[in-house]
Amino acid sequence: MGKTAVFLCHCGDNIAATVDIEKLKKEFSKDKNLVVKNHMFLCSEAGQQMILDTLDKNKDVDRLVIASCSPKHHWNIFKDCVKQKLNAYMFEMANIREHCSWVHSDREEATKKAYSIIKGAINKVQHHEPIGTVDVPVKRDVLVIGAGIAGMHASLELADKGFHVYLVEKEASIGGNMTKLGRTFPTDDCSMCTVSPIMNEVKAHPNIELLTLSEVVGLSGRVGDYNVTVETKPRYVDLDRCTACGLCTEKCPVSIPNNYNLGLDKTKAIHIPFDGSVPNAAFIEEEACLKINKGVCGICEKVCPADAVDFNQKKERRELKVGAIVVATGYQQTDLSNTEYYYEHPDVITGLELERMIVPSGPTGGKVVCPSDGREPKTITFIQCAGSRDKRHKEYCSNICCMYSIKNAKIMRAKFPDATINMCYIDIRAPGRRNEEYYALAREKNINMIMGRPSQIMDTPDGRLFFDVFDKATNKFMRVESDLIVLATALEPSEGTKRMAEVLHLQYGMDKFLSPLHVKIAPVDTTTEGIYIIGTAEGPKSIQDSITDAGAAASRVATILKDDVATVDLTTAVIDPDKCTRCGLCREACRYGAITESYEVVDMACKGCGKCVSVCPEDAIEIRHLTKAQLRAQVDGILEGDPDSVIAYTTETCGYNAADIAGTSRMEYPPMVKVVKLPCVGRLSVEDILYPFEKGAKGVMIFACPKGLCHYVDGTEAAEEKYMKAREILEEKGVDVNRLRFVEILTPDGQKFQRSCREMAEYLKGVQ
Amino acid sequence: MGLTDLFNMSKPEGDKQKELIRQLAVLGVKNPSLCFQCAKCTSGCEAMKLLELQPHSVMASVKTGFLDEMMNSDVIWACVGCFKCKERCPQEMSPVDVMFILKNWYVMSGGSLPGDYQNLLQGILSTGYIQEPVEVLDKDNKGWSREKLGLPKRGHPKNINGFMSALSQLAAEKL
Repeated sequence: MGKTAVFLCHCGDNIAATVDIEKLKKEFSKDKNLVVKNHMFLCSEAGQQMILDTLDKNKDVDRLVIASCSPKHHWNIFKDCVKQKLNAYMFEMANIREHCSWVHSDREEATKKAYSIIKGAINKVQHHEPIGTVDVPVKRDVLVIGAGIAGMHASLELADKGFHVYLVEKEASIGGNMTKLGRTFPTDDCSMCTVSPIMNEVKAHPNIELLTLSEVVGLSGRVGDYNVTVETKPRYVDLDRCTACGLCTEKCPVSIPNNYNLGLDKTKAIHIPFDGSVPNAAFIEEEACLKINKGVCGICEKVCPADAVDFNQKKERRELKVGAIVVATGYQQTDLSNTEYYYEHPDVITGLELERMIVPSGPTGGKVVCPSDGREPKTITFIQCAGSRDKRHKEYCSNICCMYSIKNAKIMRAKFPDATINMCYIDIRAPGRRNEEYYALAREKNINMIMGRPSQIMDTPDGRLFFDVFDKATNKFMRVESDLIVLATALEPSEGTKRMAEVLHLQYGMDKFLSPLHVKIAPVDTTTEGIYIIGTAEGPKSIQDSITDAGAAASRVATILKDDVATVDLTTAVIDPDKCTRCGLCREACRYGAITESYEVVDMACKGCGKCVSVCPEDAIEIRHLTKAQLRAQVDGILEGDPDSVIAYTTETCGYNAADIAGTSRMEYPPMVKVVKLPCVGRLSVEDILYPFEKGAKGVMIFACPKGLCHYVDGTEAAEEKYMKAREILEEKGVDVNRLRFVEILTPDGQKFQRSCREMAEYLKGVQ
Repeated sequence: MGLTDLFNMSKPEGDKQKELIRQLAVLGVKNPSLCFQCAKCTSGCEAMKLLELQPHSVMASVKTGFLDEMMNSDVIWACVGCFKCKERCPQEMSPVDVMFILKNWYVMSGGSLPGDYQNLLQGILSTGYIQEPVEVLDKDNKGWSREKLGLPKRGHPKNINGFMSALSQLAAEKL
């Protein structure tokens, strides 16, 4: 075996301020088998050139360790660099920034920890072997989930590029929330007039296949080769025959609240979703129909002149094969009932409800009225941040409410020149092109801007709405009476978005919105290659930002699917036929059917989680990217560097991300905790859990993705089982079981990571 | 901090601020510097209507560090302790707890209780109640007594002298 090169990055003073790089260099240089170099910024072009030059000059170096930031940050950059001289897997990254310099302030302690982390990486890389690649044929079809403005725009972009697009929509018509709006800022143009041509273009495009009343219920495969299960609810109306004449709706005896108008008026069990819906055809609300539920009626079927009603339609499932997926499942308004923001009174409405009243084709024919008695409002009050910027409800700013409330206040002024219009706000947020100018225009419209948040809405015994508010601008406490109160209700991810997080195994934040791979430099990518998130599924945002997202995602998809084949690393499992006794345990553990009856691994099916490794009694199966020898060598190295360590096994996703977030948020925790990254905690065998104890570690922690959110179906459950067994063994041997801990953690929860580490260290301090 | 209140030439008190933050943490309340001055506390403050208490400006003074100024002012004594500000604060602050702490500090530093508080204290010592249970109104202006709500009747301390001396002893220990 050749020598190992160790590269130490200063990262400006991000690392060097807390970790003594010179001292580390001196220490490691004592080992004649190591070539040690340091650089101010290893990721820079000069830094990468230094790596390449070192490999050129030292022909006996055949593997390397890069001690710098999190591999989540720059792994790809260094991989591409290493690839020029060696196999791409002949290096290991030691994370001495997020996991060390950013979470410790004592220079000596941090340097000691960095030494230990790097020592672990050096030991591990000694066992690295080259990993090959395989070419996979790429399916050039794309799935777009959600046909709101973002999903439609992405579909059109992709279809125009020549990709075949399946556009799946849960509702009976495409168009999304934008079809419900009256006018849109900062242009004040009619929303439906903007979105309607786009809807028709989607319908007419030869490359787009529309699936309404449909939901994605299952996903398997990988980038370039996804297998998606779509479930379509029966429409009970033949799309080809229905002429949208509306006779069925006229005759239907069942009256139901009109969801499209947010329940502000009624419609019938069979109806056309809305004027200008696409497809423009009737559909039957299953739950309300008498024929479907009770077997009586069937009037619509009899009166339909086109013979389009078909009660024989059934729920259908379809398997789609696609290369990439775009998720555009959008937002919904937060339910504020039973909070002090909302008050049970018909004249307290949400911004979206006001939009419906502004639309000329809406439930009130474009007249804005008090829903309680239909009178014209003399005083209209907008209350901002209803549920937003509130740690007890939605901690985030809902982004668009300032602008749309200003827009609606302007519209109200145009409609009611003599009315009193109030707006209660904390700050007005109007960044973005033309938005501040738009706000300035609104300020000329004689709107009472009240700088304060009401505590509670109430009404007088005769039904007049009022609230008390302190205006910080005038330093006055005032009572505001209103005919109509419009809440700028917080946005939250739609039910569909929350469901997609589960079905597609996507990461989400504490706010439940889907998380991008990197909030700054990879805003539409996700941690799963080939799946992209756009629009309000990722966070509250405006129409223009959603469209920007859609274009970006279409470009990302085209990048991935432009070639007929994709090259995939063989980071998969491999079986040693000489050791294998064909006991079947690995086949039972694998959730992807990746191990054949003749005990060979299907590389295309294997996800590389390593659960098979943890159950094999013969040590006959390994995953190429984390072998038993590598894992143990890393633990040995860490303990050699610092015998008083706690080994924290983390999943590659939630666990490691949480540790990184603790780092980027500078949440200090005791330096004794050292992270060891696994693809999934399901990779851990009982022996792996106990190994650090044998080697004298102070403790072992396992940071798993929460149950139900495991990226490999049930790795967390598998690991918990092993953890319980390991506890029993520790107990038998008289070892304190509290030195072994199992923590379920979500990506954004850096605080929980910090807390768990602190608790562990506190406990260990107490028992010593 | 380079701030000075030009009206009374007081300067921010960093150490007292740290102590306040520590005492708030014991109560599970976060650092007042998180307050973003939305004034929801003042909008809902019962004492604002009668006594012009502005909890949001108390919070602003405290987070800037003018603690003595607040501690020695009348405004903190206007708080009736209804806890609505704490319940509804969107940033999980607690103006009411800040004012309780400042009131305690004031008394501990030798200040005497305002007259009304003396009466209140006498009331507690003689009846065992801050306020005798009375009917409360719901949003339809309907009155509810403990009886109507099916709650047990509450009596007075049986040994009123023992109660008074126990309470006085506790107060003496605390001070």
